[in-house]
Amino acid sequence: MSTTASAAPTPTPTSFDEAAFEAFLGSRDEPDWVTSDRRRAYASYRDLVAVPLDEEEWKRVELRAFRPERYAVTPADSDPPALATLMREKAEFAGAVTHVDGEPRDVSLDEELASQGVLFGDLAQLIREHPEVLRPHLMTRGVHPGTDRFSAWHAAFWTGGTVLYVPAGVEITTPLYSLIGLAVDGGADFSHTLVVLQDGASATLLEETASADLDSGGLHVGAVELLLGRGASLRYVQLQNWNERTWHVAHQTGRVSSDAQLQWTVGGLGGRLAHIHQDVRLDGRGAHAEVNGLSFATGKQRMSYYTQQSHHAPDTTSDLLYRNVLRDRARIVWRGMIQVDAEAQKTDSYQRNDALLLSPNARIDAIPGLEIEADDVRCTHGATAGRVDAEQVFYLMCRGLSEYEAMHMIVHGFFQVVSDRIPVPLVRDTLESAVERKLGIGD
Amino acid sequence: MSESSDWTPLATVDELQPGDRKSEFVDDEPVLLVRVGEEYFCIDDVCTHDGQPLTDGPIADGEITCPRHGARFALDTGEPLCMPAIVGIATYEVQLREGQVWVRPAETTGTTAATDPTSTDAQAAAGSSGTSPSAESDQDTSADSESVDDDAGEPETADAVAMLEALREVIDPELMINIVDLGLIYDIREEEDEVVSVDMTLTSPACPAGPQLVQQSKMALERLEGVTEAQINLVMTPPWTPERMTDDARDKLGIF
Repeated sequence: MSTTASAAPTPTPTSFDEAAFEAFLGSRDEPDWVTSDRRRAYASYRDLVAVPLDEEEWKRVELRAFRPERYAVTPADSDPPALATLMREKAEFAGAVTHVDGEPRDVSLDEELASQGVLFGDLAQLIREHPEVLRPHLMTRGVHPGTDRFSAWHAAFWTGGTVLYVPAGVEITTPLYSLIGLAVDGGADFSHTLVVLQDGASATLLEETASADLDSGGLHVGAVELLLGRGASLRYVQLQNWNERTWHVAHQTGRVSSDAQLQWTVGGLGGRLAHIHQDVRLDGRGAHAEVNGLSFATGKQRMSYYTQQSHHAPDTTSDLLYRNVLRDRARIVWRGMIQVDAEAQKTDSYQRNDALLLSPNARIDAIPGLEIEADDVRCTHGATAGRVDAEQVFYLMCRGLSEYEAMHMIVHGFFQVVSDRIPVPLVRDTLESAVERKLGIGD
Repeated sequence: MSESSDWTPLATVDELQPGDRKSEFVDDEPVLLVRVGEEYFCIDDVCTHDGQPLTDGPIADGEITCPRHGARFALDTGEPLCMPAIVGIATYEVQLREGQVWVRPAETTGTTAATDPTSTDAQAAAGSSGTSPSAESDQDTSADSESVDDDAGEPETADAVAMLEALREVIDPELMINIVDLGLIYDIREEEDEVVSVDMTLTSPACPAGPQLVQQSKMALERLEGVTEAQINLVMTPPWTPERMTDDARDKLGIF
C-alpha cells in the first residue's frame, strides 16, 4: 500500500496550537462541562493530527494544497457585511437564525412554537440556558469527536451553530431557516448544527452557507447531527454555497428511530474543496431515510462525498440518489456504502449516483459499495457517468435553441429528478435558480 | 505571481541536483519539478488514471511511471505512454533566469491519447519550447505514424501530413478504424506536379471492402488542394499484419 500525501500526518497548524486554543477558551464564557469536553477533544485532535487519515475515505481527496495555518477563528466583526443568500428573503419562516464568522446575528422564533417548548437558535447560548435538554445529545450519539482529526478539531473549536429541539408530539409545518456565513478573509467557521426531534415531532429545516465576497479564503470544519425520536419526521436541506476559495469539511450524521422518517438533501455548489462524511443510521424497526444529493462543480472545484447508509434494525428502508454535473476541470468523488447488520432483516436499501460531464477534462469517481450481514434483504446500487447526448442537443437545436441553451436545458432536466423529490417549493425554486446562476444564465 | 506574466518561481537553480525532484504548487495545484541531467521538467502531480499523486514515481528515459498502477507519462509533453492512463497530464514550460527556475502552464495541456497525431505534434512543440527538445518526444511522435514511416521513410513534403490526414477520413467499414491507423498505407510519393501515387494494402487479399476503400482514398486525396490526380496502387507485399496497426487502433480492437 502506498500512502498518499493527503493521508499523511501533519503537524498541528500554528493557528490552532495550544496557545491559540487557550486564547479561544478564554474568549468564551461557557459552563465547565463544555470547557472540559473541548479540552478532551483538543487533546484528541493533537493526537489524531499526527495519525494518517483513513485511506479508504481520503485517498481521492486532494489535501496537498490545504494549509490549515492560513485560517484562524477570528473575533467577529461587530458589523458584518450583508450576505447574498439564496433563500432568506424568499419565504416566510417559523424561525430564522444567522451566524456570521461563528457569531449569532439575528435569531427569531415564532412565539407560539416557543411556548410549546420548541428551542431554536444559537448553540452557544442555548447550551447555557438548557443544558439538561441539550447536553445528552451534543456530540454523543451523532458525530463522535474521536472519529478523525476533523471531527476532533471541530469538537474542540465549535463556535456558533444552530440548534433545533422539538418536544414530543409537536409538529412544525412552516420551515425554519439557518444561514451560516463567512465574512473575514482567512476566517474559520466551526458551526455545529444539532437537530433533536422527540417522539412524534416533525419539522423542516433549511440551511445554507454563504461567503460575503468571492475572494476571501475560508475554512469550514463543521458537523451536523440529526437525531430523530420514534415516529418523528424531519426534512433537512443543506445548501453549501461558499465562494470558490473556501475549504469545507464536515461530519454529518443522522440517526433515525423506529418508524421515523428522515429526508435529507445535500446541495453542493460552492467551495474550493468540499468533503462531506455523511452517515445515515437506521436504528429502529420501520425507520426510513431518503438521501438526496445535488452537486454542480465547475472550474477547478473538487467535491467529495463519503456516504454511509447503516441499517441496524429490521424492516428499515433507505434510498439515496445523488446527481452531479461537472464542467471544466472539476472533479467529484463519491464513495457510497450500504451496511446491513445481521439482525436487520427485510432491509430495503438503494443507492445511486449519476454524473453528467460537460467537459472532457471533468472527472467523476463513483464507487458504490455493499456490506451485508443479513440474509433476507433487498439492497441495490448503481452509478452512471456520461457526456451530454449529442442527439438530445441536436433535437433541442432543431427546435430553435442555441447549443448553449440546449446544454443548459439538459442540465436542468438532469437535476430535476432530484429536486422533484423535495416537496418544498422554496427548495426546488432555490436549487433551480442556483443552478441557473452557476450556468451563467438567469439573474 | 503578481507580476504581469504567469510565471511562477519554484526553486533556485542550485537547489536541485540532476535526478532530484521537488513537490510544489502552481496556483494552488500540486506540481512536480524534476531535473534530469541539465534539463528541467514540470508536470501536474496527479496521475490521470487514479487521480492520486505521481510524486514518488520512478523516472527513466524521460518518462515518469505512476507508483501504483504503472501508467507512464512523457515528462516533456505529458502524453500518456502506457495503460491504464489514457489521458495526458498537464505540463509546464520551464525557464531558468535570475538564478531561479520559473514555470508556467504549457499552451497545450494533456489531451486524450493520440487519436489525433497532429495535436501530439503541437504538444511536443509546445512542451519543448521552454527547454531544449529531447529525443523522447521525437520517438513518441514517430511511434504514432509508425506504419507509414517504417516502409515509406519520412514524408518529405508538407503535403504528406495533409495527405495522411485526408486518408484518415477513410474508415474500414468492418473495423470502424481509419486506414492510416490500421497501417494499410505503405507509401505516398509525389510522381509529378499535383500527381501523387499511393501504395496501399488490404487486411486480406479478398477484402470485400477493397474497391470501396480504394475509391474513397482516391477521392479523399483529390479533394486536397494541390492534388489533381491520385493513383492508388493495391499491393499485397509485404502482407499486412496486425503489428502494423497503431497502438491506438489495437486498443480499439481490444488487442494488446
